[in-house]
Amino acid sequence: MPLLFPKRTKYRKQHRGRMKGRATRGHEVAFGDFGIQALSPAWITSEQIEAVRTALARATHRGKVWVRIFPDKPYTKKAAESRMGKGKGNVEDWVAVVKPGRIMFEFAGVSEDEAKEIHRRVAGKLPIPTQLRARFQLGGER
Amino acid sequence: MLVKAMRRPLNVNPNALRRQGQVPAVLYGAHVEPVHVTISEKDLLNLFDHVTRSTMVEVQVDRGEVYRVFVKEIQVDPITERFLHLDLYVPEPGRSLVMQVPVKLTGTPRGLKDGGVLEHVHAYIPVEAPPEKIPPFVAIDMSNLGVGDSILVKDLAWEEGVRPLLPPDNVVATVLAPRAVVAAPEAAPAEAAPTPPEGGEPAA
Repeated sequence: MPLLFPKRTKYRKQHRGRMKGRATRGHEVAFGDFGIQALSPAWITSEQIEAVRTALARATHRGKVWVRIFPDKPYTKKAAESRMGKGKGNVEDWVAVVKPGRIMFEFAGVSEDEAKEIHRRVAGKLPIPTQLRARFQLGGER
Repeated sequence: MLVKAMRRPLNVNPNALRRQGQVPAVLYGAHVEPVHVTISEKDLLNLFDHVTRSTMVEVQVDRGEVYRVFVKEIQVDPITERFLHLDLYVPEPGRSLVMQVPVKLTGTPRGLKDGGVLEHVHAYIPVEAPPEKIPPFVAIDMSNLGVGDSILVKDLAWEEGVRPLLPPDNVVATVLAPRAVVAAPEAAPAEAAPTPPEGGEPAA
């Protein structure tokens, strides 16, 4: 049973689709002080999201964590040793479609050095290269 | 702060300008004709190290006319963080406008030593004022804040003619109590009272 998935959907199964181009939305750190940004396209599963969320919550101690992606795409898989045909397989898991530039997670309440260490820890739980982004601020605002 | 800009013809590919270290920008306002310019990326980096979004910046176009502008929008490449384009707004003198003024917190709150967590609720405060009166930032001294203390919008000092657009009771910054408070272990009771049996009074 996946950890995160929509309450109800209009259709049970979806086409796979393509992940061309860059993220045109959700590419700025909007809530926290730091964000974890995707550098390549990927399907991020609900388990991966939950693993990162847990790691961030532990690492930031008393800080805040925001999850900015949600797995709203079902993917299917045919049962093992089954012959081809006979329709599309069963829904196996739910994924979030992520394009390069997307800020997937944000957190606050830690210093820059701590944020770098947190990113290093969390990056291993994701299937794609990521980078740490700080909130965009002009010099006079810091 | 003064920045030099050059007019740019609109038939030049903006990406070609970016490759040469120039950032395309546009100057516009209610009372001026739009001017399409380019600004050196080096100059911009130097400028943005010192200003805020509500700082009035002087832009000299083609070593001639000087415009007093606010940086209205900064388009940044999401991955490389290089500047793509700037919107420079030329305000009409004397006509009030709404601007987001950044809040700068100074000093370490007293409450942090007691385990509190600093929460900066409003990083920007929208204000309405004539352009010449808009402050570059609002500085708040946090050193006297204990756990549970807050700074509200009405606690901030504003110059005459500057009107904050947030409700006066809105919290700008606060020191929150830590989420889990561990109770100090009590001394072992010498004569502990017998605990009543669970399940209420015995039936008669």
